[in-house]
Amino acid sequence: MALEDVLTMVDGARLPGMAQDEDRRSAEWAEIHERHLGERERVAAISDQEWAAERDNEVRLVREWAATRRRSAA
Amino acid sequence: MYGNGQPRGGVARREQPDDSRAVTLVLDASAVLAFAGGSMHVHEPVLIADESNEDVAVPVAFLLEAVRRDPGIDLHELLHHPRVIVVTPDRTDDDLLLDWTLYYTGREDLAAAAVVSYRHERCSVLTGEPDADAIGGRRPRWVIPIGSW
Repeated sequence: MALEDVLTMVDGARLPGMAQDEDRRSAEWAEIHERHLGERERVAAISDQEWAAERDNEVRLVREWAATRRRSAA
Repeated sequence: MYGNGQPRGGVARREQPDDSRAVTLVLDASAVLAFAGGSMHVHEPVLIADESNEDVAVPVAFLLEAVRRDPGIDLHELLHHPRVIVVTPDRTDDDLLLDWTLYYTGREDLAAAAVVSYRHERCSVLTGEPDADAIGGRRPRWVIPIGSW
């Protein structure tokens, strides 16, 4: 890289290709940001009752499965 | 948002009395590795949690698993992040943790995530291995695959 290019970078200017890279990364980041906000909205749309019931059911399933497994192993 | 993150039952959670922030996200070992590797797919949800004044939890078991997978992993940024807390399931949940560990065929790290997220309402688990968290043959809604939401 020529000294002139280095000085251009130090001055804050961007080399050819850098702008495109930054734009692409910025667009990707924005997409990830939107997707994550969407995921939070998806979770928020589930009612407290439904969420709790679902999780409690999972725990019950796991605990019953583990108890059965222990009994069969005994 | 993921929810208000208030704890339920007799609870696995932080003990700091002045810490009222909700825990809305758990990072598993794959997420820890991705965070350390600079993945936007993990940094962004942590950033959003930060902006929402929420905490992100990392069970100790996942730190150990991440280090086991990559002994050279740099955890400095993660462990010094103001919104990331390292947690362990509460002792009162030992039996529950054991049952989940049995269910997940010995994966105590997955069990810890299930218990920690269960004890914080609307708390999700960010993972690169969503199939590993399946219950009854399907992926729970609290499991968020990295990069695919």
